Amino acid sequence: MRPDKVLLVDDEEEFLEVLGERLRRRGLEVRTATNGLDAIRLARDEPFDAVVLDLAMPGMDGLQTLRELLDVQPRLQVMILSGRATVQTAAEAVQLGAVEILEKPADIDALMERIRTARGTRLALDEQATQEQIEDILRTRGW
Amino acid sequence: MRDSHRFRRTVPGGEALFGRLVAGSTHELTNVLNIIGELAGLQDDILRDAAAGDAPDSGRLAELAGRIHSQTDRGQELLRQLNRFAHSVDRTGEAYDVCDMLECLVALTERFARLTRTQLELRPPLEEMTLVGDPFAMLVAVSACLDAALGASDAARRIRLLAERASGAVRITVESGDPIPTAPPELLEAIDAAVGRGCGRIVQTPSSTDPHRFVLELSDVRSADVMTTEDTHAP
Repeated sequence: MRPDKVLLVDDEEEFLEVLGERLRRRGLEVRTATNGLDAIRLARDEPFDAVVLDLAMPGMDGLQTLRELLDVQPRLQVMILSGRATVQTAAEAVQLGAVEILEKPADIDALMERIRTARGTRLALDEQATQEQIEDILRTRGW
Repeated sequence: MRDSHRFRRTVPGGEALFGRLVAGSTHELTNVLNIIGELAGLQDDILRDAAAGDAPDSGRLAELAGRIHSQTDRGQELLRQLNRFAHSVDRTGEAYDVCDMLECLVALTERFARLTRTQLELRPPLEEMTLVGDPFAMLVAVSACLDAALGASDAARRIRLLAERASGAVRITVESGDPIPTAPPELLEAIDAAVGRGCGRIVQTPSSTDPHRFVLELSDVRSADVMTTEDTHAP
């Protein structure tokens, strides 16, 4: 089985680098982006089991990035990890499709657990989508 | 804070600036603490792996410790500037170094500049520029100009702050590489009120002929003689 693949997005480069290394040590495949545009570019090129996304970033902010990531990969499991999520932004993020709102600092084991859960959900959604596609083909082709 | 300043007359826009800079700085300090937390966590990870049989990489542990020290220095510097800013409120009528205050403002505004991907630069002056007046009011006025420039930051994304002597006064210029829209009357009023309390005046605001700069001039309260006892010890 391939390792869980996660995309970390945060404008604090050192935070990103160190958290990335800690997750890799725990067996994850980790990609990082320091801004929303790079994150979207990566999501266009490769599938991720989960995205861990900061809210306050230069240029495109976290909510806008979330919107566009879900346009690119609609079944993506995006978790917000922020030091400044207000109730309002958290509610907005959930409404847009974020699956978790985590507050910094997040306990690494708790974060790992959530990433594993996200992968499970992603696999189930992919399976469901495949099933629907098969049923659709069977219906439209009349086999 | 000394008792005589507990009831100082407020500077228009002062509370908003205080809230904004304290909020921005505490977010920045949270970032610093989060990085320290992760660096310490990584050291724990390395030691845990060592306990499981791998030899600990002492060089790596030392490197991580060095990075923790760097982040601690970053946090200390931010706290130093925040403390200096907080005390500007109770220094009305005292001598202050204009450039020290501007350096403090630039340090605390850095986060907002970064979020708009703008480079903020304080051009170092050639001499110390000490004034007696109201440093907090000066900061409120300059910050309002900076905000207007940051709000208009677009292609060049570069803002410079300059302080220079001008016939006994100190002239402060906020200069943007991008054109700043003509300031609305309420912004001009706010700047005028703040700079007035800081014992100064607006020399230039962005206009169609020069849309790139605000220029403020601050005089020494001892020479201008415009600050009253009521101003510093009201009500």
